[in-house]
Amino acid sequence: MALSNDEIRRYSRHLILPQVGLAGQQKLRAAGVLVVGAGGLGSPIALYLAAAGVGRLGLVDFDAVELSNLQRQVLHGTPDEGRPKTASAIDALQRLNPHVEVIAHDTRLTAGNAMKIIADYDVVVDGTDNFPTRYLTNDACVLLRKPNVYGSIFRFEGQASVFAPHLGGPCYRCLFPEPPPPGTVPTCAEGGVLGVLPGVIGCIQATEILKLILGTGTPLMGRLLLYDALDLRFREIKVRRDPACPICGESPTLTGLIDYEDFCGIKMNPNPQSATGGNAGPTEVSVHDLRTALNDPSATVQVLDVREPMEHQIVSLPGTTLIPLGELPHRFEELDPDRPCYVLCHHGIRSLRAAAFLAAQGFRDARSVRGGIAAWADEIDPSVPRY
Amino acid sequence: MGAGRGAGGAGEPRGDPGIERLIMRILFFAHLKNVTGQAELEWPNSPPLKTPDLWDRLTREWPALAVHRQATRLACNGEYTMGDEVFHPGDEIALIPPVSGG
Repeated sequence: MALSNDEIRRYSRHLILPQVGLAGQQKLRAAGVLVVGAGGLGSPIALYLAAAGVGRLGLVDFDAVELSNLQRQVLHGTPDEGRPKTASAIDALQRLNPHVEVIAHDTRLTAGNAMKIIADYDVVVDGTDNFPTRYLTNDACVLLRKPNVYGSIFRFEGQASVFAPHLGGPCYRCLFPEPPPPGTVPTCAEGGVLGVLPGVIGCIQATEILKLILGTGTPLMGRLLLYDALDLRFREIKVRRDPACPICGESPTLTGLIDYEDFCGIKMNPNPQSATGGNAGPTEVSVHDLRTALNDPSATVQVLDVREPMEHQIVSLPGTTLIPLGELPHRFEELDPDRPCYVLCHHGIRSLRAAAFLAAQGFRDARSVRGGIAAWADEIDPSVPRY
Repeated sequence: MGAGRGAGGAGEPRGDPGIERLIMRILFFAHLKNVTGQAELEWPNSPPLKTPDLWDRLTREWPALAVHRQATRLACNGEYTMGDEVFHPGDEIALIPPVSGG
């Protein structure tokens, strides 16, 4: 179908590029791209793809917009706080380009729905924020023979690549066959992230998607791009397909999707909003138990804070001892192994590891404070800042 | 040399004259920088090292690196290594962990 006069005016800077032209613009309009995650990476990706005139954009996200997202998730604005990210994204993208059809998948991508959702699109882009979804996205794309445009960020550094075994390139599992042990890789919430970083990596992903649809240029396939914002440096690592890869190798052992939380050694909370509630596990205590311990004048319980000094500067609780998780292996002797020890962190993940470590060192009773200082702010003291 | 070694190191001849060829250079990415407290380190006069020897030497110096070993991939002179490799003086070895932020 020919472009309308409106579309010709809108895309005129594309139309005069020999590598795009009318035919290329029509390819973009006929294409469907699935953006997994409407967050830091998904924001610039969706904005630029919509602006470029990609005809059908699917967005998978089940989160609501939080104030702490806005430092980098430029799809969303201050009035959107509390709204579903997909709803906020649809508004922003429709305002930018009403010619684009935006489809909201207001759900978590799971082994149960991934094949069905992804099958409807030509290209998939991985802008998620956790390992299980990255492996799931990869495996579903390999099985469905869809290119998977990968990006991932940490603090000031980013990675990007194009995975497409059906086009001769490697997949995510060729690159990282084994997931890291749970809790060993800090998330953006734990480690922080420079707001503009996902802008850089997301724009690289958007560029690769447009090139794949247009069939122009050299894709970032078989190459892992590493970006360091602090040194402003790009490096490239050549990556080959792994013939022993369990999903895209010569004799694949995976022919369908698996349980990715199990594969990554974690169980996700089905409702992240309630992560602070519920019953404490055998190695956990609640923030109410923590309050009792901190109010006890005889200080029977020692309270250990394993967050980083930068987090401690934002907010700390009186009567706690700060030993960042990374320093615990050579500083745990500062604590008394015979006294009960409650371990506190931001959300109750690092403290679980710390409590397990202390138990292994012979501490009689080391427990993690479920939900961390965020739960303290929710349930005990609303004047405590959330970060 | 120096600045362009990372990406451009792949085609560098190992027999390069000069002091650089005696140095094994190790690059740390992402959170591994936090574990070791540095982005880069140099081992002058290192003998050739097999992959497990390299890890042994690194985890002796930073025991906290051990937990990252299983998921971290090594690249040598700009190319991913698969399985066991022998690293030589003059090689630039990058430790690339997976990161998940989005």
